[in-house]
Amino acid sequence: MLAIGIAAIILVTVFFILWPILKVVSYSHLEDYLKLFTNSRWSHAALNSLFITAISTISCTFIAFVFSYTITRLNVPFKGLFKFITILPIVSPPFIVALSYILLFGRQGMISKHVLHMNFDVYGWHGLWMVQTITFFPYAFAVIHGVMKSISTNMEYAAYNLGGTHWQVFKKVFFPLCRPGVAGGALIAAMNVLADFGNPAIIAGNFNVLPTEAYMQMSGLFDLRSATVLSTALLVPALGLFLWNRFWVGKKSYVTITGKETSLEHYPLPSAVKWGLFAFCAFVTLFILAVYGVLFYGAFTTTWGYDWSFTFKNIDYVTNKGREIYNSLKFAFISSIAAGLLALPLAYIVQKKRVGVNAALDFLAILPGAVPGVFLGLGFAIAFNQEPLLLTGTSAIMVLALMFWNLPTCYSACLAGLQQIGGALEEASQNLGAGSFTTFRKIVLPLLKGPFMTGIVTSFLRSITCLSVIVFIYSAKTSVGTISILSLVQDGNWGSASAFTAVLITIAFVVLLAMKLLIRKDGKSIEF
Amino acid sequence: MSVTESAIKIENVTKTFGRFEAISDVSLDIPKGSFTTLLGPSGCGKTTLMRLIAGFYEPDQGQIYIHGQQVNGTPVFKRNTPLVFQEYALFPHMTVYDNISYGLKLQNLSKQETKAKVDAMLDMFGLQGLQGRQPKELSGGQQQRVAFARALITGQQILLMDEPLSNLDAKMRVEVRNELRELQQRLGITAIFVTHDQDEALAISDTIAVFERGRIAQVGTPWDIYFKPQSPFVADFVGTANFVEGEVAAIEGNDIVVRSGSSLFRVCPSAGHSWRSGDKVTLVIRPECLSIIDEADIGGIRDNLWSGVIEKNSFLGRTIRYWVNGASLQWIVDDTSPSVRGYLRGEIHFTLDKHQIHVLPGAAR
Repeated sequence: MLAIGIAAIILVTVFFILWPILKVVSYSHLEDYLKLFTNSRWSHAALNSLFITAISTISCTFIAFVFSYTITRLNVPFKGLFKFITILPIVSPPFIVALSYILLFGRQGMISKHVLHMNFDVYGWHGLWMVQTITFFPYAFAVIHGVMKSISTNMEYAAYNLGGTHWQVFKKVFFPLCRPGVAGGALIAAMNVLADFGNPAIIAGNFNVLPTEAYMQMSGLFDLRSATVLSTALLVPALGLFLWNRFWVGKKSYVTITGKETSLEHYPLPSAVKWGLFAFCAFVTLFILAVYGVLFYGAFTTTWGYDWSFTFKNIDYVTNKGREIYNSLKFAFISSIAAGLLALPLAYIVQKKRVGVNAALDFLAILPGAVPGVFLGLGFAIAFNQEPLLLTGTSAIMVLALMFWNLPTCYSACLAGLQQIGGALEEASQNLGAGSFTTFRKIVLPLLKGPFMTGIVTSFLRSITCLSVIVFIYSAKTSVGTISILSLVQDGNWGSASAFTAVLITIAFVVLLAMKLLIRKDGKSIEF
Repeated sequence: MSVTESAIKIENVTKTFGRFEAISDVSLDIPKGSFTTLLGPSGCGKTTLMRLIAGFYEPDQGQIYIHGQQVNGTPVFKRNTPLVFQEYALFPHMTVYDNISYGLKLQNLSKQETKAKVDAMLDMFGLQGLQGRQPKELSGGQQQRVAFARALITGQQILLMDEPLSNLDAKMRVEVRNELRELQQRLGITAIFVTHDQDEALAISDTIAVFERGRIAQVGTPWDIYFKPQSPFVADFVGTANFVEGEVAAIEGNDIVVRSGSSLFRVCPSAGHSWRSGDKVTLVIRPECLSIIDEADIGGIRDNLWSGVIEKNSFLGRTIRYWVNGASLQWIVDDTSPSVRGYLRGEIHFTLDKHQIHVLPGAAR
């Protein structure tokens, strides 16, 4: 019984994770791959991808570090706002920053045209750099902040006590302790920038990168072979970054040795440094607020750049597109719950280490997190376009793709939850006469509710704002909100695009808020 | 049913983790209704043995019997060996009531019966009025009492305890251990108690099993363990002792005379071992057995009289402990009536009854 269940889970994960990946990689032959080096357009795309990833990672990590430091170590106002700002881009559609950037600084930009009276060219690598930095620094922040928060201030006090100056303490004690977090955060940012499709699709202009190039080959030229080659070229560095993060950075954490938490006041810094950092964070925060503000403003503006009068026509347009919104919600809802339900037994099997394959299962469960969204989407498009599973154009393929794309999110949440529960509670239950199943039902499941729900909510938000995974597999019937926004932007229809995005963000926030309230009532809080 | 019938019998049990042998060929009889303590430093195997009894581990070799039944292979939930965990392991998502009744509910008792039994436990542990609380809303001491109530409610004859007092402050620990002993005797259950705290072990137990690196070094009453340790390890781990290495110089009737350097010791050893001249021995002398005497009283004493200069002291309340530099030996000497003499300085003289020296064969350590 148990063995059959485990076998089924292994089969499902292999079929829906490994199989699509192998399909893409094996679709083309060696001579196709060689074109990566001979076709100058492609080699440029590859180099462009690496270049934008490198510079964006540096800027993301820098901003994330300053934000984390300010929030965890300085006594300044608006820290709550700074923290809130770092959640915004995570729960928003991936191309929102690009869209707003155009609305602010583009040819018809609110700031460029009407405040500065200048004509910027926002399209290109610099625009993309700016946008990727704002979009993905929150991911680096989440990691760096987590590490910084858990470094006891006692360490810094000990260093000051031994006679260290501010700079010495920072350089010799604080920064080395943060280094695993900084490395982890940088890698997370790099993975996201590398794999991102939405922002480059909107703002990169002629600066083509691998995901957009693959999309163009597929949707513009119907050249599936080239699309697989380009996606595979993207997979290699993505997988490299992922493995690096997992096996190198993951093992270098100092967090566990810090011991007891203290409520010591933070050691005061020179006020020039303090307020300098504050000003930096405030500037970034204002910029992000402007990004969101302009979007909502755009949603109610007649014609961006020319006619600033107030209108409901954009919102009307969105309500006419109700089916896309409905699809977005439906797919996100079903796929996130399905991901959670698969992740739970998966995490339990891996945590219990009962079966010999748990290391392999663990790797399979997190693998989709390493695979760029466009690659996974392409894999599903190819693998399930034939018997035994012919799913092309169906809702099922949308749900399945989103589900397995979100599996790592739910799985990691459940695994972390299980590790926190610890063995003693299960032992106590068995010791009092409960069998394995009763223990699972009465002890493990109720305690996992928090992490389980966190995983599902995060997955839901990711799904509703997802573009890259579904861009290869949607059909006229299964189109979703993000797809509509992309085509509106490509047509220069800013008003409707803004309105559409505003509606999606609002939905995302309502869901997030509802979940937070629901779970807090239960005595546990969600941490994103 | 005789008094000495075993509740738990361990026969030649060995348990390894990877290459580490946590328990090596251990045998132990735990009589019904006794309070048995497994004592030893961390990593000595005491907790492993308890977990073997509860069934969290299976032995690699050897047998475990509970009430005469071999339990090798019996799953944890069928062993009826409730355990009080060191960190209590209270279910954080359940109320005090649900925690305590957890074991009962698995037995499908009626609601009224369950409530009656839980109420009895709440009474016994002074937890009335707290049944609706979550564990995190309780103090450490309350959490601990819930853990005991949860383990005892099913009325099993065995109670396992894994360092249950280690999270309490010093004063509480002494209080609770006395209550615990009373409770065990009142209920007539067999208690097995794991601790690394020798004071606790001495105060609470009928029998102590001292563990040393996966083996049992000695089993005995607290008195035996303290005054008749069978190895320097036991003597050193339980309490403080002066160790004197020497050689039997002469046999004089029931007494033996031991030479260590220039000092001679007259010892009246306990029966059971015959000594011969030339045997290497280690003498174990508890600091409180040495009595400090005034210079005026030295006259009548012929044997076991030493003197030395006080190096440092430590005030412990009922005693003052002195580190004394004798002619060829370092001594630890307790003044057991410090209220009379106050701090002593300079040279002191002390003596020892020949019956109060414990002799071990061989050299120490």
